[in-house]
Amino acid sequence: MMALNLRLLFVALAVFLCGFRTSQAQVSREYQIKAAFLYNFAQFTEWPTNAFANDHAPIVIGVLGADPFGRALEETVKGEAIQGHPLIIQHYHRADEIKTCHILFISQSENRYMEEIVRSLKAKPILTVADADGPVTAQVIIRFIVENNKVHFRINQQAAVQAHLVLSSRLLRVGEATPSNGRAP
Amino acid sequence: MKRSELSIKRKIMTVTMLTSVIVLAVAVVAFIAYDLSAFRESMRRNLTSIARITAYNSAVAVAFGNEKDATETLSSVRSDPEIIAAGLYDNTGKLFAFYPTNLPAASLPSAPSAGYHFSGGHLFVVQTIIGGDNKLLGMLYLESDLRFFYERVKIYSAIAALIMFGSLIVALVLSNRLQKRISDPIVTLAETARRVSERRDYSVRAPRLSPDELGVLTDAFNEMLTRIEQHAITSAFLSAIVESSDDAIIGKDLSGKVVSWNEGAERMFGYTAPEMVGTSIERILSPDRPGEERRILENARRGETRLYETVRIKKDGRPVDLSLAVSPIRDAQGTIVGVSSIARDITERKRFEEQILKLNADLEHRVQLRTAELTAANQELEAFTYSVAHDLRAPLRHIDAFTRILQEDFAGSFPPEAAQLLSTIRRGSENMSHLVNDLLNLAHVGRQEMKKEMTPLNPLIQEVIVEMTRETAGRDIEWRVAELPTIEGDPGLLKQVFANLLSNAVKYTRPRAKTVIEIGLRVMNDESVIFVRDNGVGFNMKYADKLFGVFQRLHRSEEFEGTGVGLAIVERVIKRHGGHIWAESEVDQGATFYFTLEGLDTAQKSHAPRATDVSSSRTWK
Repeated sequence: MMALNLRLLFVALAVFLCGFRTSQAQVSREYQIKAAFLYNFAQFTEWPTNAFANDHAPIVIGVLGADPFGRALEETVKGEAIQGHPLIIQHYHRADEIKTCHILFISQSENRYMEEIVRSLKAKPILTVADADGPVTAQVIIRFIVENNKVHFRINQQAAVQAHLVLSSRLLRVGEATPSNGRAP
Repeated sequence: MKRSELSIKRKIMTVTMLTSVIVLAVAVVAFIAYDLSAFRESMRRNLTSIARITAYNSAVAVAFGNEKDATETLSSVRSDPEIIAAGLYDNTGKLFAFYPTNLPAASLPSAPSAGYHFSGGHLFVVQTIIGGDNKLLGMLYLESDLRFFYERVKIYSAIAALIMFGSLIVALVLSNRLQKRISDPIVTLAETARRVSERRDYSVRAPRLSPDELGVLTDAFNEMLTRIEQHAITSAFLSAIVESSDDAIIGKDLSGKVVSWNEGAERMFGYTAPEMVGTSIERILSPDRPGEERRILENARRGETRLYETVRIKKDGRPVDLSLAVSPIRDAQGTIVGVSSIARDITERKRFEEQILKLNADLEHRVQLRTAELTAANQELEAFTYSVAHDLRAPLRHIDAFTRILQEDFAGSFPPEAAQLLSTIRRGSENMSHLVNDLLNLAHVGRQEMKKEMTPLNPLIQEVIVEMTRETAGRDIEWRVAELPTIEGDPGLLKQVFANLLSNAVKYTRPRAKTVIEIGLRVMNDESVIFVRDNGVGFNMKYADKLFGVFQRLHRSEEFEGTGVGLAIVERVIKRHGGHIWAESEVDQGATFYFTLEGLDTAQKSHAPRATDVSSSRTWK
């Protein structure tokens, strides 16, 4: 009797835990992928040497505006380093808070100020990533696109050149590169 | 012969062919193995580098999970027709994209690990896909079939077979020609050897066809034939000698077993060679001489060659006396391997020896008898002589006495011629008286008892010289008398010796103006000898043996008076004193009488230093 009760208890516990984890994953699935993409961008991007104070200076991934990642971004970059540069995450509320930043994720909450943000960051070696596609984000270097439940991205090669960033040709091939006028193909 | 010729040729060719085929096969296999291994390695390198390039190109597609781009990138392997399958896995090991697109997904492995391996005629390469910072993004799987590799193997095998076949034909032709240079001299040599052994003809010689080891072999073979030829001749001579010998010549081994038995032995013992050869020599040994043959064999085994006289038993049971020469037989190394006995029948010789011994014994006996007879006759004769001489003295005295009376009392009544005749009668009777006296003396010397005592010789000689004063009166005589020893003898007889010898010396030196008579002692032939030397008329050595005979005279009595008995007496006395006498002379050169006496040697030794000392002599005139 006792053993049966214990088994029932285990089953109930397992069902509960799985359900919790599933709901948690569904909430952040899109942003888990996007967090991984942010990390992957770092692997295929070359910054000018003056972007780092030294060889061990961290690659700063900045999140501007509301953070949609939960813990996903932190978990993705935790303990990782690219060519000797550890990855750290910083959060900003406004563009003028940005000091040293290498990849800047511009949250959808900042879509209204996109033009202003892009202008203020112009000519800085910052790989800007917008979480939305559309005319407002045309001057951002990389834009995330979600189609058929799949995450894609587009690259504005012109903007990357202006920011003195060199993107891997393999990245350009995968990213649906857009011409300099910012319009989608 | 045909077979053997074929055999050596075939062997050489087989060896040559086998060697070249094996060497060639090893070389071809090694070359193909090396080439295929290198080819396989290059295939692996090729596929690995395709894998690296493809992995690099697909890194971003894998990183961003872009299936379309991944499939497109993967399809670039199409350029290599050997690649039959390819797959991309993400970093969780999940298959993500594959080529060709119609491939059933199940044919690709799940979550392969990096590396490569060959199996089932396929090459598998799994390559890691690395991101910008050595970050493992996923895996690339490539599968290539080894079609070209196996095609290459087939081509190589065909080429190898062709090469082998061609080389075999070349090797066959070459070895067929070259083997003749080796096999021809051998075949020629074998042919010569066969002729020698079949015909026993040692005069043939093998021709020397090459200057190499085969040439040396041929020379050695010819040299051997020469020696065998010489040896055959020598041994034919020897066996002819052995067979024709009258002596029995028997060869035995060291155990006494007969090895050879010549015709002489057949005749001597009655056994034929086939009966004896291979059997023990014991059959002809005499049972009376146990152990003799064993001793003979032992002596021979020690290497001694010896002569024996022994007895053997013939086949018919009769004994035969033999002289036996036994010597060891050695092999070429000098080891004694047998014994040769040369036996000669000495039955005849033995018989002669016995006869001779018997004859000798007879002769001895007869000599003794005759000697006894002669001695008796001599004694009778002497007794007769003595009695005749003795009996003659009385009538002689009468003749002498009455003749003297006639001369003295009737001197005037005879005519002078008668007186002359009377004188002649008296002289004749005086001579006869001397003769009778001398004969009695001689007989006396022979019959008289010896009275031996120690007698010094020098006083004896002085006495003799003094007694001869009448005869020496008016003569110029130099006496040289050496110191002489004292010896044991009869003094009367010894004095007689010196008296006769010295009076002889005085007599025969009469024609000399100056006479020298020397008496001395010397050593001749290890013997002490007394000598009496004069410078008189001497005598011819031709008559030396007559010197000591009775009535033997070498001079006419008109010249030198005498009866011819004196030296006979001397000899008899000296003989009775255990000595002997001889003389040396030449006509007109004087004479020397030598004699020995028993005891003179020992006596002389105590006296020797001055024995012949001339300075101690004395001279009488």
